[in-house]
Amino acid sequence: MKLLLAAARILGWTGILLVLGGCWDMVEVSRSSLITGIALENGQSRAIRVTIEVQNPAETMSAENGRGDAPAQLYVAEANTLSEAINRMNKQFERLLIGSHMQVIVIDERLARKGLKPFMDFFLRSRYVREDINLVVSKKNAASDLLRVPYPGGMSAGLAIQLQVFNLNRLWGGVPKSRMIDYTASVQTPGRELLLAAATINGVAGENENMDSVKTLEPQSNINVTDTAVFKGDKLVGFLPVNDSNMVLLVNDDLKQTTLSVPLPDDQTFAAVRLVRLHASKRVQMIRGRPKITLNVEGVGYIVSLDADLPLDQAAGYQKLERLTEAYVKERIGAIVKKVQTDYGADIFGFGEWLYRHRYGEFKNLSKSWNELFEEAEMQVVVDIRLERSELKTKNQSEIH
Amino acid sequence: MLVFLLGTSIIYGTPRLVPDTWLVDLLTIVPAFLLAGQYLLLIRLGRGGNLYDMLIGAWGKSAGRLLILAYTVYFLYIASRNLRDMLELVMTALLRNTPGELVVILFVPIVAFAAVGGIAALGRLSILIVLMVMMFFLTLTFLLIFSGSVDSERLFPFLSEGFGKVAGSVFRSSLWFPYGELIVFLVFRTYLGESGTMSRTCMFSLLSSAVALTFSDLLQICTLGMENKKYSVFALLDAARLINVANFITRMDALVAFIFIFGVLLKAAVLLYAGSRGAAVLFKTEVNRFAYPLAMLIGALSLLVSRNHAEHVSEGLIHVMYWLHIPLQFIVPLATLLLLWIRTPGGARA
Amino acid sequence: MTTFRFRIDAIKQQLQRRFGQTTDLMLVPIRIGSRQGLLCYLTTMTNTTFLTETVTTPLLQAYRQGGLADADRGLDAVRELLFGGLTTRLLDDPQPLPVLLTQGYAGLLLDGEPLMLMIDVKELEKRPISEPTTQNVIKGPKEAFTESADTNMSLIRRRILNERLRFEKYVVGSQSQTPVYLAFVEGEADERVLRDIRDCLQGSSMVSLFDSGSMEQLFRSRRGLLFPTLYNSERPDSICSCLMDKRVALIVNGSPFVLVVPALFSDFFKSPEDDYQWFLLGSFIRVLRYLAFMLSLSLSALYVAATCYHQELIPTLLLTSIAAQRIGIPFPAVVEMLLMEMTFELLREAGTRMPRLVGQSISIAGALVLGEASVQAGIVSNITVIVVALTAIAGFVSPVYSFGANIRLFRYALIILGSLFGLYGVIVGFAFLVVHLTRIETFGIPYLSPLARLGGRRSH
Repeated sequence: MKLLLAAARILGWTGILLVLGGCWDMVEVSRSSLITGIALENGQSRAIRVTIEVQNPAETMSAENGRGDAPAQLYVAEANTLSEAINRMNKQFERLLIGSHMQVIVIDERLARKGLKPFMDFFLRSRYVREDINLVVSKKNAASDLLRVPYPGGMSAGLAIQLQVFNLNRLWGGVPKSRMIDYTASVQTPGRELLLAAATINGVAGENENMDSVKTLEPQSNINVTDTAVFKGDKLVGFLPVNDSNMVLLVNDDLKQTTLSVPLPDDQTFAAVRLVRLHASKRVQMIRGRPKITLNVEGVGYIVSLDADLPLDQAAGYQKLERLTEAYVKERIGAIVKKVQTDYGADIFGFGEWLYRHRYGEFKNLSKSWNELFEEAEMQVVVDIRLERSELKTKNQSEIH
Repeated sequence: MLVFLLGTSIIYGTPRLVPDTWLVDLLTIVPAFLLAGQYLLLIRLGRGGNLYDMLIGAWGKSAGRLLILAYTVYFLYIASRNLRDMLELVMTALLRNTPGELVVILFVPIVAFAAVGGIAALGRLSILIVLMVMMFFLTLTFLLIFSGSVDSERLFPFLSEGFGKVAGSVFRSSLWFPYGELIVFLVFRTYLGESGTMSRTCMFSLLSSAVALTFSDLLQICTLGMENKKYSVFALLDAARLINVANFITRMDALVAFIFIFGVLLKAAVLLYAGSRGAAVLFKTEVNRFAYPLAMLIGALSLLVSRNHAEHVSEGLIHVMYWLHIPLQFIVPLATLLLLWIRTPGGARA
Repeated sequence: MTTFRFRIDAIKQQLQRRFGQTTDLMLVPIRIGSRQGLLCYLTTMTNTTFLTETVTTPLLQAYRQGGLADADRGLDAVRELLFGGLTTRLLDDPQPLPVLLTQGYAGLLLDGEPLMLMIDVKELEKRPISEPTTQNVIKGPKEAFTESADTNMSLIRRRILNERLRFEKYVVGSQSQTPVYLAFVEGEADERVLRDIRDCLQGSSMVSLFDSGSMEQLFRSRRGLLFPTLYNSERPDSICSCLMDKRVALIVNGSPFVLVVPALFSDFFKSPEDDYQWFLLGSFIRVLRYLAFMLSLSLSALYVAATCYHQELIPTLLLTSIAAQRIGIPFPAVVEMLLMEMTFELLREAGTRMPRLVGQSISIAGALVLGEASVQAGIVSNITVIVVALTAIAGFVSPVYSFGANIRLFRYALIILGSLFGLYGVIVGFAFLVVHLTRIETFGIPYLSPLARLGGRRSH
């Protein structure tokens, strides 16, 4: 019995000590705030200037008792490293910051041209930052301006950018997925250069920062995801217009769906073709020191609209349109690859990566000079499109007899 | 007892998140079988005694007791290394600011509690834990496939550095850890049934744990890519962070932490039991009296044993190999085997 | 050697001394033949009508008809003549007389006889067989055990029409002398288990026993702290299926809950209904029960751990919603959670003890006041109420009430661990639970069979 009492006493004290020893990591949700977006720019007095967008939970779309205030607020700090800047944010802000739900990192164009590596390391190491956070380069406007755009319905700019990029990528292929995993994959894999989404603002930046500007019918300012940013290593070298982005993604075998306006033989008439399953496989061979690339593109889709008349009630009609589409795609791919070769000399299509994976022996010696070799590469494209159906009607119905 | 051996062998493999290529794992089966064969021969010659009896029988009383001490300390040391692994994971992934001492203090009594239960309870525990770990692992795999993160292209280039390096890696590290630790089971010899079933069980469990390890590595490479894997501290954790199903199921690192903690629990409990048995033989007292104090010792050791993570990894992978694993897992048992062979008169070999 | 002879006065004195002034002891002088006799019995153990019918009337009739002339030959003859169909005993020593009287025997003695006749006249008011109160079934038998051990044994016997079904009687409780019956099927039950149980029953040092629940401490394995190691049930069909499954049942007189030893973890998740319904549905519901158990144990703790320590585990929109709800709540998440859990415990306990007439007001008070009003007043957040309610409902899914009751305590420990150390604390708590579960053994049979049957039966 005495032993039991003694043991109970010891256990009791250790229990109390344990209880006293906890709570080191506790974060009270109502006394902290979520960061939904972060914008990085060159600092004026220090190395880097960080603007964070902090969510106001009562006003977001998930809350029911909002009063129509802004769903997020912006705070700025400058420091020499990113982490220091974020941790000093309490100079202006009253709560603890939780970084685990960041949606978007907006990088200023000028900062991107200097190189991404210095600050990406922080995001990669941190266990709070998700791997599929979006990276967006802000073109022309300052990065923090992108976060100053109000959206209706209690959505914060960070979330809005993420959704925009996601949907544009999924439905039309206008931007690459642009997540942090893509950054890691491109930077670490030899033979592939980075592609990120780039955005600007429609309307004047910074003028329409209150919620009144979203109470009108036409939004006074919104974010326009315009281009795709091309990198060499981790430095920004240029932009590709959004019109060409879907072809770039197609060559990368990253395109999910897209709609093409195929020009018809009649002048200024087009057929709209929606491709829903696309696959591109490449083969790279080194012939006499020059890379020869063979690209096989396969697609399945359906016809969405026709300007001119094609006999779509016969198989021949389908075939004709298929040939037209194939030619169109082939021409577009050839054009964009050439453009990238001449303008940027960066292998954003991953041809080098293919060589690395499948013919490692050959690639080993070439890896340092791959980008130059890419500029001289020859390409052969074979396109095979299958159009399966044409929605509800067959021929163009607006024939006027 | 089949599942006990099976279970613990699988667990031996999984918790270590050391970067390795999957081919190495697969190839390690062959030498592992040889090593296991050596142990089984020992068992056969030992005629039903456990490791400690065998040591005394082969080397004589004083040298044998010295070796028993060595093995006891060795088992406890491995347990504390494993605990340190778990500590690193928890401190990185779950609790950042909490001092490591508290984490250890919470964990160590449970390890002792498990070890005190005896072999049968440990067996049941291992069945349960293995089931849980397998289930979580499969869930992880499915979720990764669903979120589209698995890309078999990442397996290439294949054998880029040549076969020699792979083979070297097999003999230098993969063999001893985890298969060499099968020697722990020699301690429980008396409970494990006759040698016939035991050898079959052994083979089966070796095979399955090799498969499990290979599969785990394959999964990691397919999701992360070989280059990325080199840079991560805990590759499985990074792989689990990539899960994103419909933006709803995200951040499954907690799952990995779960697997890991339970795995280490089992392993440490088994090692602790073996160690306390050794201590019991040396000091001629009952096994259970040693469990809790030794558990505290393991806890303290795990904190003291390395100053920082890099030291922990290098010590654990390089130095321990040469100074501890190879002698105690290979050389001493081999010598014991030979001695027993010599000492046993020809006809009495079982 | 002189044989002892019963004397009326001596016996009367003895009984009055032993039983004191208790009003239910009846000492009735009666004439048997030409001799004086004494009928002693306890009115509370028998029904006067029954007594009159079976004992006094035959005696008087026989006397009137004069057939008792042979009565002079002794009580033996009387017994054969009149009480041949009843349970009777002959005593040659007054020692066991009080005990037998308390067991419902009526004592008939003739002055000067060396023997005394004890007739079993036990006739007690019993509760009729009704529906079970705690383990309800939609499609299945609706009989439940009652407090009378005889009825209970009968309910079992009529279901297992097998001569191998045995009942053994033991008396437990030195002061209360409660009869306890051990039921098993010969050939099915494990011999070692039977032996251990018999030893336990015979060696018990209990003073009094009023319900089968108290017996549990006799059999509680030294290692089983948190989980009940005995399964109890009010339903004859569950007990019978356990009996056929190599187990042993204990029927305690005075308790409608029959115990089954040894109990296994999976017993507490089985309802006999699962077998009576369609196989897939039964399996699905059984899986649901396990999930509900996990949920009721861990949901509160996980909620606290996730919102306080690991916000990254919660999807963003959900986290925003939680944060929005928790604006202005004065307490930390832990305190909120514990407050609500305590409140729910109070509600539950009050609801059980409340007299039925007042029970309605409790549910209204509970729902409106504590739930709705506290949220409106900003004392707790909506989501805490939801979590607590879910946890509580999930806790009732286990078909055996005592199981859920034990585990409730562990839930608090998990919440506290979760609030101190986050998910790691919860995992450690779970690890403790798992290790504890695997260590429990009753009479050498591990708690987690059939899972553990792969690993061997007895521990060393």
